[in-house]
Order: sequence, then C-alpha cells, then structure tokens
Amino acid sequence: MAVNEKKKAYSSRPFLFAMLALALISVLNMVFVYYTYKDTRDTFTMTSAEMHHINTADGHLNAANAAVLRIVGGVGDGPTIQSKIGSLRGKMAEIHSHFETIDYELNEYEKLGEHDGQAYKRFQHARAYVNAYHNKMFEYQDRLNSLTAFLTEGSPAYAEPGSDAYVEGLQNLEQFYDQIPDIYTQEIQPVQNSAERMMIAAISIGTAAADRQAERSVRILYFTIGVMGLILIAGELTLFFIARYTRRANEEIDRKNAQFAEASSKLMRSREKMEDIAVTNILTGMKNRYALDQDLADRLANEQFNIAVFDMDNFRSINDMYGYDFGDEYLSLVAERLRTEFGQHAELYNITGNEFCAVFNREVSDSQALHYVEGIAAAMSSPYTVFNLTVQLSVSASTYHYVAGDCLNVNSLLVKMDNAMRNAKRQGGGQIHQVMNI
Amino acid sequence: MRTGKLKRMAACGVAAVTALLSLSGCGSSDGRKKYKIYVIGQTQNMQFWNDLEAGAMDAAEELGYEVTYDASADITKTSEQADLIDKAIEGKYDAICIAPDHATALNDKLSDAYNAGIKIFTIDADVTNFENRVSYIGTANTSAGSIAAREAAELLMAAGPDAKAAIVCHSESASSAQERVLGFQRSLNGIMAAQAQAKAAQEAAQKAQKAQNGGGDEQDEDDQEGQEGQEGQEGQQGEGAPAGLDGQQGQQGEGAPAGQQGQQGQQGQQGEGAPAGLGGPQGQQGAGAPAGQGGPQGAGAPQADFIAETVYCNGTRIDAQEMAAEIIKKHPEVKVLYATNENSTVGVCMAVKEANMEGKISVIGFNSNQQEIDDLRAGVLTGTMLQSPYNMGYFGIFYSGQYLSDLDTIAKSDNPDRKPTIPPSVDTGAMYVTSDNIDKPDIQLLLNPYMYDTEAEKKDQ
Repeated sequence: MAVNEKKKAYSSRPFLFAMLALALISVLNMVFVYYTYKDTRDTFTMTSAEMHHINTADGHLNAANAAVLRIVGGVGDGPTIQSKIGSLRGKMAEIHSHFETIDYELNEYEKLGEHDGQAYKRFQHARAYVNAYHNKMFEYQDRLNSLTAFLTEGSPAYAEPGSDAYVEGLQNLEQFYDQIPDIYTQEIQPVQNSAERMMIAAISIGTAAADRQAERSVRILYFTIGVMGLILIAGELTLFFIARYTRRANEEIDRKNAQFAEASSKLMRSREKMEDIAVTNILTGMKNRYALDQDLADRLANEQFNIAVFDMDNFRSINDMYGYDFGDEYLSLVAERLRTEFGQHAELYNITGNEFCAVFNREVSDSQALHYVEGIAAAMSSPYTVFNLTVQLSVSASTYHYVAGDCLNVNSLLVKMDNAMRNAKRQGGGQIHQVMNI
Repeated sequence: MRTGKLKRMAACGVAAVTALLSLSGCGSSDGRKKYKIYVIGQTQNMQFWNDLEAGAMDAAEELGYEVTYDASADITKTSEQADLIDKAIEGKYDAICIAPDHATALNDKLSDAYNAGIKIFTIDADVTNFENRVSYIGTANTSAGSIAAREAAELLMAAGPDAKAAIVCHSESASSAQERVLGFQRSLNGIMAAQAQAKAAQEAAQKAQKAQNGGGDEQDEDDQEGQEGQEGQEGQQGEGAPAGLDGQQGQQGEGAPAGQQGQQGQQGQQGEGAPAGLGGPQGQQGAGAPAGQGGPQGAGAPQADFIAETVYCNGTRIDAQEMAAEIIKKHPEVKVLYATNENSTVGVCMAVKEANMEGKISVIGFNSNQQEIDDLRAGVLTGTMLQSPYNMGYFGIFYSGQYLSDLDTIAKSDNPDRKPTIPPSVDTGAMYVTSDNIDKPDIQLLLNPYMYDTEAEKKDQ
C-alpha cells in the first residue's frame, strides 16, 4: 500500500504543473488581448480626432474656395467699380475668416501627438499649400489696398474725385479687377488644388494607417485566440493522456497488488501446511512432540492437569519380525482406536514411533483421568489384526498429576515421566506408574 | 465524463483551426487594389527628375500602388522611351505616366499601349494629336508665361512709358518653351494694350466730360461724389468708350489670343470661361486647356509693340548670354528680360551683370538652380517661375490611381458605361518667386520637397 500512495503523489505533479501553466498563459493572454484592444481603441480615437480636424479644415477650404469663385464670377457685384470693390472686400474678409478656422483646426491636428509618419508628412505638404493659398490672398489684398488707397480720405494717395489721379486710380483698379479670373486660374487654382488633394490624401493615408493598425490588431487577436486554442488543446490532450496513463499505471499496480496478495496468501497457506506438517506425526496423523511442546509450554507455570505417557513394550521386536510397514500399520490402527475412543477426553500426541501421550481435558477429574489411563492402556494392549495377522503387545504407562510450577519446561516434564516409565519397564512392563509429586 | 472532455477538446480544436484559417485569409482581403503604374521620365536636369521621381514614389507608398520609375538616357532619341513603353506593355502595367521627349513621335507606341489596356497619362510635357491620353499633369506653361507677364507688366509700367520687354527662349521646337513664350507675349501685350487703350479712352471721356460740364462742376458732399463716380463709370461702360472697354474685357479673356480674333469671339470665349469657373475647379481646368491649346493654332506669332525681340538660344548658357548682351546693346528701351528655362536664365543674368545693368534691367526667369538662387538673392534676377516636379510625380500617381480605381468602381456599378471624371489637365502650378518670398515655407517646400520627410526617409537618402 505504501508503494501505491507514493506513486499517486508522483502522478499528481504534472496535473498541478499543467494547471499552473494554463492559468499563467490565460492571464498573459488576457493582458495581451487587453493591450491590443486598448491600442486599437486609442488608434481609432486618434484617427477620428485627426479626421475631424482635417475634414473641418477641408470644409472651410472649400468654403474659402467658393468665396474665391464668387469673386471670380463677380457674384453679388454691383455695377460700379466701388460696389465691386466693396463686394470683393467682403468676400476677402470671409475668406480670411475661413483661413483662420483652417489654421485653428490644423493646429489642433498638430497638437494631437503621435501621427502616422506618412500621413503627417502629407499633412505638412498640404499645410504648406494652404499657407501658400492664404499668402496669395494676403498678397492680393495688399494690392487691393494699395490700389484703393486713392479712394480713402486722409491717406497720402487720396485723390479728389474727377482728378487725373482719381481717374487713373479707377483705371488701375478696373484693370486689376479684370485680371482676377486669370489670377484665379493660373495662380490660385493650382495651389488650392494641391492643398485640397494633399489634405484628402493625408486623410486617406491616416485612415488607411488606422485600418492597417486595426487589421494588425485583429490579426494579433486571432493569432492569440489561435495560440490559446492550440495551447488549450495541447493542455487538454496532455491532461487526457496523463490521466489515461495514470489510470493504466494504477490498474497495473492494482493487478500487481492482487498478484502479490495472492502469492502472499499462497505462501501463508504453504507455511501453515508446513507448520501442520511440523507438529503432526505423518504416520498416525496425531500431533507430535513439537505440538506437545507448543501446547504445554504456556500452561506449565500456572495450570494443573493430568498427563499420561504410554509405550508399547518390545515394539521393536514387531518391526524386526514383520518389517516397518507392518509396524507402521499396527501403530496407525492403535492411533485410530485411541482417537476414536478417547479423543473427546484428552488431547492425544504421538511423541515417538510407539510412544503416545494424553493430556486430559480440564473437566476430566483426577480419578476419571486414572480410569481413562487404564482404559487407554487396555485399548492399546488388546489384540489387533494387522495384514491378517493378529498381534498383541503389553503397554507400560506413566501418569503425572501436574501441579503448576512443577516443571520449568516440557522437556523436564517428559524426563520425569520417562523415569517413571523406565521404572515400570524395569519391573517387567505392562504396568502403570505414577510420577510422584515431591 | 471522459468523452465529454474529448468532445470539448475537439470543439476547441475546430475553433482554433477556423481562427487560424481566417487569420491567413486576412492579408489578401485588403480592400485597396495595388495598381501597377509605370513612370517614364527624362534625364536632363537631374534635380528636376529626382524630385519628380520622389513625388511619384511618395504617392506610391502612401496610396499603396506599385510604381516603377525609368528615364530615357538621351532626350534626342525617342526610341528609348518607346522601349520603356514596350516594357510597360510587357509588364502588364495598369497605367503609364510619361514625360514624352517629343510631342508626337511616341504616338504610335502609346496607341499600342492604349490598345493593350494601359491608361496613358502625361506628366511635365504633353503629347499632341493623341486622343487617348487621359490627363496631362504638369505646369500649364501658357499660364506660367502669363503669370510672368503680369509681373513683367508691373515692372514695365514702373519703368516708364516706353519700356519694353524681350524674350530669351531656350528652344524653337519644344512645346513647353513655345507655350511659355506665347502665354507671356499674349498676356503682356493684352495688359499693356488694355492699359494704353484705357488711358486713351479715359482721356477721351475726360474731354467729353469737361465739354459737357463746362469744367468746374465740384460737389462737396461725399454721397454725391460717389454717385458721380458711379455715373461716370456707367457712362464709360455704356456710352463713352465702348471700344476701349470691350477690348479690355476681351483681352482679359487671356487664354484666347488677343487681337487675332474678333472682339465678339473673345467675349464669347470669356463667356464660356466664367461659368465653367463657377461650375468648379475641374470644369475650369477643362475649359482652360482647350483655350491654351487653341492659342498657337490661331495665333502664329503675335508680335506686339511691347516685346522688343524674341530670340532662341537653343538651351546653352553661352548663347543665352551673348544674345541677351546683344539685346541690351541694341534695345536700350528693354527694361525686362524674360528667360524660359534654367540655362537661358543664368545666361541672361550673366549678360546683365556684364553690362552692369543690375537693378536697371529686370530679369524674370524659370526654375531654380543654385546659380539662379544666388542671382535672386543678389538682386540680378528679379523673379523666377518655380515649378513643382515633386507635385507632378505625386499627382501623376494620385490621379492615375484615382482614375483606375474609379474605372473599377464604375465597372462594378449599375451603369458600367460611365467615364470617370478626371480633369483632362491638372495644373501643378508655377510660383513667382522673388527675394521677398523665397524664405516662406511654401516656397521652401518647392525648392526642397524633402523638407518634411520622416526621419526614416531622411536616413535612406
């Protein structure tokens, strides 16, 4: 069992490791996904702000352009040069206010921080053209101012109406005014076109960059999910195989244990058998001298009991005369009869070949015991028919009324009884001698 | 329990594989198509073509097109550009942006390309008699000449009543040179003639007014003054000098040749121009180009009084210098010299310096090499017309890409026969640069289109 527990402790380690690894990867994954998401969100916020500013600027650029076109087309102009100039001034003011807004929006764009490199470059190009456009407007306003100075009372160039200078001034003004369509087509329109196209390009580059960024984020996200899935599969597969392996290993251990238990029980049984064999006389099936030794050893110190030893006189002559087989058969018949007739009153032992011992049960009284001793001796000394031959031998016996503490061990007890037996045999056999208590 | 787990695992696996598949599909589903555009340049004047190439490459990178730049090694051999067109046909390009070495010699080859399905755009210089060119993207040379003329007119008026201009042109055959001269001649003559006519008309009107009013009609109150002014002007327009004013308006039509066509014709042309202008910039460009093209056909060589002489130096500095020196000697009334390219500008400046006429004779030139910028800062060169080769490259790619993607959009739409609306010509502009405005950022950007390059791009260069 101890081996099995150790095995189980070992097999739980990969599970723990796999669990921790999965947890760690999950956390890393979540962090990664969060940052990807945050990055994407920031990009979109940035892009929408960028687009807002550039689109607003573009809108005002268009409005400024519309005002320029109204100048070119002479929309809202009165019939006189003065009214034309007034209308021109109004439109110029409108254009400047648009450019102020454009400037504001472009500054706001610039303040946004980290722009996409290409988009920012294009933005700067666009801004240069927006400024060029605005500069042109300033240039023409300056020219307009200098050309209209003669109309303003108090200015050094002021000319009295009707004077030559006045008429010449009107003439120059008229001429400038008539040049406006050409100035527009040749000088303003290319600059305005460049500014607007490059602004549009800056927007689309920024949007494309944001799209690329978003695409990259999505790709990272998919990749993460994919890797996560693969790791999950690998983890689950590993767990599955570990589990299966562990189950198999456990089954193997169980089988080994069962085999071991079987082997061990077999061993026990054979040991018991061996023990049986050791304490049994093989010939007669009765307990032997070792058994007697075992059975009595613990009782010597504090029990009293009756014990008797029987020996068939001159049994050697039977062996010598009829052979061992005959002797053996004779002894087994004797043992059979003793077991049948006295087995319930006493524990019977076959100490040596023709020597038997009876330890009487506790309920058998001393006198009864003597009676049974005589009975046993009589049974043994009665005639037996062995291999169709009737034989009869006299029996000597020694009895001992054992009192607790008489002997230190079984051996000394048997020595005492042997002495009594020797006395009986010396007096001619067929007698029962009592071991004397001193 | 175990089969449940197995099923879950299988589901996870399927999900992961799907995710990975859709991942690999992502790259190809980019909405923008990567058009292949072949840019064919020229080789003379390296900085100009480097800038043009840089503009084209910037647009390619920003807009996601595949752009190849190649240039002919020798401008006099049109066969080199023809070979490059063959390359474009072979490489199955979607569009060609070409700066043709010759206005007509490449037409057959370009027709081959057109028949192979390639859209043709011209940059910097245009082709003539080739109807399948989608758009010309470059300087409107007539306009550039006209801008120079307006500046020249100011200078002439300031210089005195008899002052005249002279032209040193770099080529008798190149269309760009011709247009720069024509634009200049026409506008200058137009403005100066209008000025003179207006003066005459003004004097006539004044005489008439004096005769009517008996001279001393002075009104003190301001509103009356204004009213009088208005009346006076109405009188001028309506009755007093119809010829003068109409003439002025007609010449203001400008793209149209002044003096060659009848006044009504000129008015008509202006009438066309203004509504188109109101209709939007594209319309304006559309209307502007034919007017410019129509000019040389109807015009011949309008030699008006205000241009003393037009000489052709064939592109070398020394010739330009010698011819300018001769003009200075021969025509003391010439106060403005107009040169039409880099070499002629530098040559004219050298002649002016040699004659010690700095500040007395103004020089208006073209383009901007280092010598010109030095002359500009030194005051020898009054002003120079700056083109934007970077924008030619950039917008060449920008518009051809837009045209191609519009074509694709239209092909997929309900009405696949429509034509994309791309202006037939895009003026990338010419800026009149003087020592006053040369340090402004927008002019600096024209001189150095790399000034806003990202750090990485600067490292590459």
